[in-house]
Amino acid sequence: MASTVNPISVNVGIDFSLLTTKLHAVYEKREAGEYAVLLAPSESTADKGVSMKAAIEDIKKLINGVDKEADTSQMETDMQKELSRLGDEQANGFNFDNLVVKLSMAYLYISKTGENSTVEYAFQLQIITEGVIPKEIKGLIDVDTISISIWNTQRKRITEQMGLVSVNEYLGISKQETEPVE
Amino acid sequence: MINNRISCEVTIEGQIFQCPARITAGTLNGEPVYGGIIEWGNKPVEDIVTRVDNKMKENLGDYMNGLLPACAPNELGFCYRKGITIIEVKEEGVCFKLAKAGEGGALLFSFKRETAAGQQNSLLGEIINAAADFFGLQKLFFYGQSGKRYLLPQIKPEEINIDNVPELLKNSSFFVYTHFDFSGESIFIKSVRTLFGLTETDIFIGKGQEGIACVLTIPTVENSILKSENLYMVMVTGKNLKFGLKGEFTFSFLSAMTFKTDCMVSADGFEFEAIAVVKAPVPLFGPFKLGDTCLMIKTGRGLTFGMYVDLCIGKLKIFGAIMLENQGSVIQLDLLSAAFTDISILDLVDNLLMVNTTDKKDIRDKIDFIKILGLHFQEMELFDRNMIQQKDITGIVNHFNTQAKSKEFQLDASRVRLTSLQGGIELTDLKRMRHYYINSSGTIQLQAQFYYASTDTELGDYTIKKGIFICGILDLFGKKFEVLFSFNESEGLLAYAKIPEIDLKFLKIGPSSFNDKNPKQLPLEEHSILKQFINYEQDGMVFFLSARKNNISFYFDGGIDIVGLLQVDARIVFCNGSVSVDLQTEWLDILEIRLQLKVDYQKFTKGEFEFYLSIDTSKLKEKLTAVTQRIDTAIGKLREKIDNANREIDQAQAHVNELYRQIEDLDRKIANCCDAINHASLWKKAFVAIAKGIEIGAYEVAKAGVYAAIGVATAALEVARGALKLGGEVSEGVMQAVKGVIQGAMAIFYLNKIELRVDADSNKKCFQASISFTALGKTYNYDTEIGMDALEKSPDNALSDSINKELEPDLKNLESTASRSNWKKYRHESYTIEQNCSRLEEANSQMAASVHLLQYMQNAYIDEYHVVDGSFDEMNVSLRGALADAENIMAAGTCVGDVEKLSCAMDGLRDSVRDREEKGVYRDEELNQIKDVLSDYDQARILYDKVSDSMRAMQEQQELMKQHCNSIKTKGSEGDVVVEQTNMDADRLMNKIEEQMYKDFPVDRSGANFINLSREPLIRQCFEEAEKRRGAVPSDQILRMRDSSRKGNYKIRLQKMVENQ
Repeated sequence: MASTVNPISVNVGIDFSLLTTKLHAVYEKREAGEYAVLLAPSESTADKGVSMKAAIEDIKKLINGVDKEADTSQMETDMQKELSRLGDEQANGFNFDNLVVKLSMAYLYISKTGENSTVEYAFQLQIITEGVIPKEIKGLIDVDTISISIWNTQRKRITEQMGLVSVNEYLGISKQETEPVE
Repeated sequence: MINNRISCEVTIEGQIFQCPARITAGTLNGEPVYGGIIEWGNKPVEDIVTRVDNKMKENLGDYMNGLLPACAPNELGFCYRKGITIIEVKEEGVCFKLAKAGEGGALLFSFKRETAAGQQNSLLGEIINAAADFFGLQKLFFYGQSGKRYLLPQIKPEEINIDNVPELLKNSSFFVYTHFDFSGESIFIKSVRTLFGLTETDIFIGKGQEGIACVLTIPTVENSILKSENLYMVMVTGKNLKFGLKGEFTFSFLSAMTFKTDCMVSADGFEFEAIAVVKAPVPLFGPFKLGDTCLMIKTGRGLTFGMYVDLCIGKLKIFGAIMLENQGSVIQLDLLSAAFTDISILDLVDNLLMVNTTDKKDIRDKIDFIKILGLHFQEMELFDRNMIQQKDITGIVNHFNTQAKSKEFQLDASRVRLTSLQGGIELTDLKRMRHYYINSSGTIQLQAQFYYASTDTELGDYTIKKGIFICGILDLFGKKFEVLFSFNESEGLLAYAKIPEIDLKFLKIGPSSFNDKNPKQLPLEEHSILKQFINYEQDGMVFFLSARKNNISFYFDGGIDIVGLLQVDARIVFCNGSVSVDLQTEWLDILEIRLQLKVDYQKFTKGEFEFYLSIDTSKLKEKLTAVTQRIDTAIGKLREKIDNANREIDQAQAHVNELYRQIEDLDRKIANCCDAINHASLWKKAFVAIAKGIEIGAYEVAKAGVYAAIGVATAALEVARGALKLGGEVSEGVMQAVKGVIQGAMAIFYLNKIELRVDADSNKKCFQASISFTALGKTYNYDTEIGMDALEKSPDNALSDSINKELEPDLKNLESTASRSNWKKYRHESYTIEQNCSRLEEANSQMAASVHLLQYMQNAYIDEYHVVDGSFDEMNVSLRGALADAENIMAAGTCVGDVEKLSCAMDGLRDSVRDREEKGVYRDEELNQIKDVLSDYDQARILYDKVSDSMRAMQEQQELMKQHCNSIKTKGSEGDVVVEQTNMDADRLMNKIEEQMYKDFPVDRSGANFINLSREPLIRQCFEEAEKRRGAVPSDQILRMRDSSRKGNYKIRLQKMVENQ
């Protein structure tokens, strides 16, 4: 009976910093040139916030650090466009430039397999800037906190764990009715 | 490869309705949307209503409280989109949604019939339970709302389909809904399925305008006969329970027509209405097509039947509407209306019989004599063609309202219907049931139509307002009669008519002949509809009246010509409180009167107005030239005799003296009387002698009148002469008075009246004319006929010829005697004023006695013989003629010696004398002169008054004679019994008459001035001879009188005349 040697997997704990918040992730070395990084959904309590622009820059750096070819140029524009629709810009509601956020929850998964690489993420950012409540909801709700979530993962377990449900999904509105983020 | 699809979520945490909530923000079609969860904490759902919309709680609490789901949810769904907040309970088996939008809100929840059973005390609960029991319902939905916004589409759950909410309940504050499936096998379900073919239905129970209503929708039914859509049955509760059927259906054989039906049955009555509105007329058969149609039957206190229909015959379109109400045995007309496109007999032949007469000119000419046409708006600008082709209601209505700003024509875009017709469009004003037509070139006209409604009501899509409306043009043999009449309580009265120029020979009607028809001169309101209908290029008479609450406008322009004798032109405008009147009339091309008045009505009472009146008599003068020419000639000859006279008074005196010529005429008449006596039969001679003696007396009275007339004229001229001698002391008033007297004395021609009569018959060729005039102191009255041709050709000549013909004998006589002095011929008798007065008094007694004796004589004869003698008529006519002569002469006297004209001046002089005497500053000589003049005037006035009295006395005697003649005529017609004449009767009659003669003409009367019949030997002789022949014996009284009559001096008239013969 011939004996087989299973490949050795190595997990290494790594610490890194995102939005001035220190995070702990797991680095897994696989075969040559193949690896994975996982930051399981975890809550974080940042001491101070950063501007939304800085936060996007940090995220872009994180992604491009893994895959230099990943196109993150539209990330800022898309975010800006999406947020601007939610409020009245003239009342400074959700004005991208005015937002100051701090990280409250994060998920990151990076996988490199041969030529293919995968980056999945989900970040929940708490807006700490006061006076940015959109006029539309001022009369409806006494606001305690406002948070913004950004994600690209499609993993249901992750989105459920982090409570990442878009309002359209919540209202059961079909995709044809909505305008998808490009 | 990195997944580039990025998702983004904004999450808000906070408090909603004082409960913790987590909301996610997103966008939908570019608009923000918020959704999330509210931690409700197991409170009852009733609290949701209270916290979210307290107004709804107040409005619907009584209805919904018992029906709300009995759950206490831990979490509530929250959603905000397009200004609407929706709260919902997310629990299995529970449907509860509440929406809030602005001030209003809506609520939808489901409940089971057991829940409703707990509401049995409420009307809603009772009806729900009744319906649930009846239909076997289990699950029901309650929808209610506060505010007017209908929010059901926003909160409707996907699993139920309640899109077909009946219109009846869409404005309802709440309703209960359930869907019912007729697939069961119960008897009721089987029956409904069999009868109506229903397999399922929606049931609504809600609050309608008249109470709680239960509605069953009927799904689309389609079979070989009809197809129904949106039909539903309704049960309305309230004071009266009503059942109804509403919705739409289509007959398979008229598939292009969809009928909307509205049928109601209640304890009070039954109401059915079916209405079909078509996009284009639907072919029936032949040339006939059916347009919009409506049928209505209603029972209540009585039966009401109404219908309207648009019927097309080829290219023609006719609208008709009627509504009748039957109350007991009386049928009342509530509505009658009809409208036509332009129509003629020729059109009917072409379109109804489908006969093409285009190339049959002879047929066309014979039958194309009558048309009914629409009324054109004169000042409406053309409608844009694109607007017409696209049936742009808003554009067309705006264009119309901009042009016709008057309230009574304004359109409401929501109450207007446009239908394609003959290349243009028919515009129907549903608010007024009024029809217009806009042709393909954009010209609009009011179609010929009439409308009468005795009450406010509705029929189909039309609103019926109490009132009357008529308009159209009747084209008869090419003459267009235009008429428009509109009346209703809210919009007031509007009337317009134009009658074309018509010439019926004896009657001509047309526009006025004023040539200043400048529209800018008319004081019209800026938005007056009058502008739309007045055609300033009119060829007819125009009338317009608009009367509203605070504004009245009136316009009339027209002229009328009656057989060329009378022309009247008038134009009257009343608008904005201003009145403008132009009136012009012309009579026989002789007299022209023109009146212009412009006034602000408000200022009229203050006398602020422009007024112009012109009476042009120059033509009258011209026309009478022919009449006066002959007289002027005669006057000229007269004036030649007195050409040496330097003063107007002398001339006047000469004129007055011409009246002496009347004496010759009267003497001739007296001679004729004697002839008549000679020709009388022997036994009647006494009668005739008395009658002719009486007539002679009348002529003598007339002669006395001539002398009195000359006397009063002379006296008046003497007063005038005396007044002129007063020189510088004479005032202007005295001068004018003197002038008046002189003119009166000079006056020889007065035209009293001319009457022309003609029947309105163009075949009649002549007029009946009555002419009265006074010439040379004589009054002429006569009737004649004047030819119509002559009058039309030259009315002045026709009239003057007639007058000249009557004057001719007298004028010839005047001319022939002008060469010798009438003055000298007749001056042999002259009387003082006192003598004249005395003679006139005696004349009055003379004529009173004469008339009495004549009447007595004739009445006695009739009493004796019961028959009217043939000679009576001639006697009476002669005496009446003699009395008329006397009256005319005295009338002439009052004209030529009109002392009354001096009265004011003399009163002034009298006051002047009194003042000066009181002051004592006046010289005695001048004062005496004035006193002399006043004395002369007083004398003249006495005579003038006496002449006037005598004239009236003659009139009275004439009236008595007229009455006597009528009496004789009556007796003559009753004279059936004729008594045979005997000597005894004749003797008695003769005695009675002779005795009466002595009473009326006492024998002691001198007879110096007037004949005394009792002293005439001829009359005495006649009586005596008659006695002798019959052997009769006169009474002692008569014998005494005869003896007395022979005594003293008496100027015999009759015997002498007879002897002279």
